Order: sequence, then C-alpha cells, then structure tokens
Amino acid sequence: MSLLEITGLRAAVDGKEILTGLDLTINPGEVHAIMGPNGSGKSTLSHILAGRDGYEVLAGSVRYDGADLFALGADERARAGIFLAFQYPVELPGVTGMNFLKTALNATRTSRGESEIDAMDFLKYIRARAAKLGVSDDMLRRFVNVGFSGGEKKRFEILQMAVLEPRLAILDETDSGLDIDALKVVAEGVNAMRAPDRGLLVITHYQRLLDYIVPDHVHVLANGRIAASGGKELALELEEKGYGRFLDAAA
Amino acid sequence: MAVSSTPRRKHMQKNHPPLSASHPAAAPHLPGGPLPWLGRLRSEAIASYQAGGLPSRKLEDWRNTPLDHLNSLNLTPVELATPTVIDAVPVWQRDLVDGHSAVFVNGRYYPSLSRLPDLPDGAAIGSLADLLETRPDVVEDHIGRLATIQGHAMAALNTAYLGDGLVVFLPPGTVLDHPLHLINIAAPTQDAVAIQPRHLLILETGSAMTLVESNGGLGGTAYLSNAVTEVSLAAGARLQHVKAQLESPNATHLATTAVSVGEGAHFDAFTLNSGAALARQETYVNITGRHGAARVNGAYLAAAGRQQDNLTRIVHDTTDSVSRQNFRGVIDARGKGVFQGKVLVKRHAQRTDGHQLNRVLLLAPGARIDAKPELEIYADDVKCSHGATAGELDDGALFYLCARGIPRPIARRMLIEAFVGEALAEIANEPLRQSFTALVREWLDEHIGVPA
Repeated sequence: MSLLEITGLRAAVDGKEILTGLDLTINPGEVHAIMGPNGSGKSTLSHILAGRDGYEVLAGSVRYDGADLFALGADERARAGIFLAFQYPVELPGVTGMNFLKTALNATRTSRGESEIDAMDFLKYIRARAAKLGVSDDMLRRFVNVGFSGGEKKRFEILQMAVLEPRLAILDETDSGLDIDALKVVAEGVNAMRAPDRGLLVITHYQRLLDYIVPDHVHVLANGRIAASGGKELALELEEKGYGRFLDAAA
Repeated sequence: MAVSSTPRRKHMQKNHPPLSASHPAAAPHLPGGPLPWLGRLRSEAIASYQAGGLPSRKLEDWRNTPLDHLNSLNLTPVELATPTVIDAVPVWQRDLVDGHSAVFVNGRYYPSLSRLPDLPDGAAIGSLADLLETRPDVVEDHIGRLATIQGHAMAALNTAYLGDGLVVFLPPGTVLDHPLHLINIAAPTQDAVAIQPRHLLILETGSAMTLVESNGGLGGTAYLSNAVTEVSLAAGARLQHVKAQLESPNATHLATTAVSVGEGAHFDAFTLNSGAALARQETYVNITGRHGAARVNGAYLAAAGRQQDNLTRIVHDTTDSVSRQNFRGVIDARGKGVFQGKVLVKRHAQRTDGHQLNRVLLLAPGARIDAKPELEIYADDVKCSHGATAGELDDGALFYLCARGIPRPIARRMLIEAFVGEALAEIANEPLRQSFTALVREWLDEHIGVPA
C-alpha cells in the first residue's frame, strides 16, 4: 500500500484556486522532491497535508496509509506519523525546547497506548539525537525558536523530526536561510532518517539541497499541478534551464 | 439654583455611603483606645470618606470599576461582627513559602497561628494593634505619611477604621534572611463584613527583607477587604513584596500600596491577582532618592464574571532613578481586566529610565480589557517607554504545537501558561517563583481545563 496517495487535489485559499488537480504517490522508503517557482503552490501543499486551517479543498482526495487524511485534525495527523518541517518555524516565548519536545513525544506515545517517557530516559533519548545535530543543552533550555539563528531553527526542526520518528516527513523549503555549513548539518540529519518504512517529501525552490538529500523522484510543480516528473537528473535540468517551459506549457 | 438643589438634597438623603453610619458604633471597639491623635486621624478620615462616598465611575480612575454592589451588601464593620475562630491556615497559604509568618484573621492579628522571627535589637515585627498599646509614638510618627486620604476614598475609609495589621520596623543594616509571610484570612461570619487591614513597613538605611503576602477567604460569603500598606524605604533599603490575592469568589478586594523609595533603595513588587469577584490593586511609588529603583510587576487572571484591576502610579522625583513594570493579564469569556499605569517624570528628574508593559490575552469573545498606559514626562533627558497589547492566542503557535501531535486543548493551555510565565519570570526568588507558578497552574486547571 502507498504511504501517501494524492489524487486530483484541488484547493483554494481565500477563494483563489492554488492547487488545480495535483496527483502524487509516495511509497514507503522513497524520497520525493517537489520543485517549483514561487507561487506554484508548494507551501499550500505542505500546509494542507499537515492540516493547517484556512485552506478549502475543492476536489480530489488524499489517502495516508490507505485512510482519508482529511478526516484527521492536525494533531491527529502528527500522531499518526506525518511531520512537517516548517519553512518558518514559530517562536514560542515561555515554552522551553525540552518541555516542547517532551509534551510532543508523550502526546504521540500516549495516543498509542504507551506510557509517558520517564524523565531520565527522555534526557538520554533527546541528548543522543541533539548531539548529532549540534543542538546544545543550552538551546534546549531556551524558549523554542526565540532568538535562534536561521540555522538553529532548522536544526531544531530536524531534531523534532528525529525525536518524533515520523512515517512521512515533509520538508518545506528547509534550505531557505541556510549557509552551506548549516545546510550540510541539516541534510545529514535528514539522511540519517532515511528508512525503508519512511517516506520523505522534500519541497524546495533550489536544486542545491538535492545535492545533499538525493531524491528518488523529482516533480515539477507549476500552476498548482505536477507538470513533470523524473529522476534526480530532472533537478539538474531545472537548475540549468529554469522553470520557464513548464509555466509556458501550463499557461 | 432652586431647580438643581432639590435633586441634590434628595441624593444626599438617600445616600449614606456604606460603613459610615456604623462608624460611631465601631470606633470604640477599634484598637488604640483613647489616643487623641488617633481619634483625630479617624474622624478626619471618616469625614473625608462621607463627603464623597464610594468612588464613583465619574472619576477617571474608577471609570471602569463599579463599586455599586458594596451599597447593597449591607456591610458590617468587622469590629461589630461575631469574632471568628479558626484552627489552621489554609493549605495553599501555608505552603506558599518557608519562613516566618504573621497571620491575620478578618484583619485581626492571630498570634496562635503566627510564627514571628527572632529579631536583632531595635527591630520589630508584629501587629499594629499591639504597637498602638506599647509604642503609639512610633505609629504616630509613620502612619498616614504615604497613603493619601484626600481624593482617595478607599484609603480614607481604611484610615477611619485603622486598627490592626502588620508592622515591620527594621533599623539600619538589618537584613532578614528568610521571607516573612503575611497571611490574611477572611473567615466567614453571619454578616457581610468589611475588613480594613493597615500595614506599615519601615526599612531604615541598608536594611532588607522579603515580604510574601497571601490573601484568601474561607467559605463563599461576600465580604470586603480594603487594605492599605505603607512602605518607607530609606537609603539603600530593599524590599521584595510578592503578593498572591486569591480571595473568595464573592469577595471584593481593594488594596492600596503607597511606597517611598530613597537613595539607592529598591522596591520590587509582584502581585498575582486571580481571586475575588472584584479585585483592585493600586500601587503608588514615589522615588525620591537618586538611583532609587522600583519594579512593579504582576499577573492578573480574570475568570468569567470576575474583574481584576491594576492601577500604578510611579513618580520619578529625582535624577537617575529607574522603574520597570511588566504586567500580563489573562481574561476569560465575560471576565474583565483593567490596567491603568502611569509613569510621571518630574522636570528635575533627569536621566530617568522608566519602562512599562501590559500584555493581555483575551481567551474568548466577551472578554474585556480596558488599558490606559500613560507617560507624563517633564524632564528632557530620559529613557521611557510604554507598551500595551491585547489579543487572542496566536494561531500560528497553536498550529505549530498541533503539528507536533499535541492536542489543541493542551496546546492552548501550554501557550496560556507560557504567556503568564513571562510575568512570573520577574519573581527573582526561585522557590517563590515556583510557588506562584503552581498557583497559576491551579487557576488554569480550574478555568481553562486540565490536559488529559
């Protein structure tokens, strides 16, 4: 069974149709990249999958693990294994990183009927993952994303992914605002998450990220639908020739 | 003239402000006996109160705060009510802080439950009523110097019934290592009583202490607690005053704190207001000594149908002084908050550094905040700012938490607690901050809901 199956998805924001009939299937173990110019619907797609309010689904369906995704709220989707790494991670003044991670992890555990994680086990669990991403104890004691640099925010996103161990991770422009060193750390963190039972959807404007997170499939999103699909070489072609021909073709 | 005099006379006949008619009967029962100066002070105060009655909403400072219910309560001065006996301090008050305590029940000192510290020579901590017997001259020297009666009806009413409360006198250089806990308990009587606590803290040069104050009520009877606290901080003195107001749901809690801050002295106040049907904390700080500093912070939580008021007046009356205010309010549906904050910088108060911030979270439609932040600056070389915000919980933050699997009610609760936490962070003393955080959590458990 596919992990994610999007069929004929049409969706609007404030009455404006952004997704115009999108089809996409992701199987466990696969890494898919969606590339597209600004305004093509990349962020709309990630938000709709994660369950953000304010999007109207006009037609089509999304099945996750064979079940209707839209029947689940944002928190239920997350507990079912969908993870969105935010393009713009949100600042949470007054909420420490530790408290945030612990509450999130326990929400998922208790929904599976497991017990809440013991405090000492939790520390070990977090530190092992944090060290790999260069997230210090000090960062975990600070309020979530408050005063974080661009690189720190994205590393903290990937740490959340490592902690929650999702089945489908969606990375929304995770490369934006990163210098090359930060990009490498983040990409290593993502690559470490590649697994036979896990799907990855990498959404990006630039090919650069895909040098480090090498996808199995590349799709071009233009005017709210998949305009072309191919292997990793499609990303290189886009880098060289731009999105022009897909926009022209769709127009 | 004739036309307007008729309704005025009618009005006068109808309107005996509460607690004025009963004053002659209660006065003989007040501590201090026949001290002439005290008699004069009380007479002057009751006359001042009677002339204007309860503060009307026509007064700018009371525009959003109706006291009409006090007219219909038929309040009895606590001196004329049946004395109440209690055998223990309520648990939440007992557990608030480790340290010494002075317990007042219905405004009267309660020695059997109190535990006062051993003090160095010259220092005194005890009840005003006792001091009026043993050292009335000390009381006469200090009482009424800072809390103004004129134009302050509730301070006038308190002064008319002045009789008991906490007195602290620290001679130069006295530093109390442990917090002193002022425990105010309203205990039910058959009547709706009026309690008029009067506290006095005199900290001489270089002395320092932490005062924790808790205010609570037993049972659900309506009552009025109308307190006045006067604080005099001489050069280099430091007072941390951390107050929790969790009065009974039908109570009215009115409190006036008047503070004088001397050279290099520090006044550091935090007030948590979450109890009573209507609560109002007025804080007047006059910084008269160079490098004096005042931190006046607080959190107020207004549940459905409740009102929490804060009024601050910080006067910078010297050069190089500092004031900081950080208030956070959480208002539930049909709850109401009021914040009136003012920083006044006098012409000669150069290099004043004064900041004020009031941020409010409105949890539901029908929640209301009236905020009036004010800066009044007459000096030209100052760093001053004020800010006020009011809004709902941030949708983006809620979604972020939900997107990590956290159910919406828990996410909501986390964000509210975090919001209040940023005011609680102003409590420098770690165990106290934890105690106050626990009180906020209990309020959230009751009014916002406990996470599953």
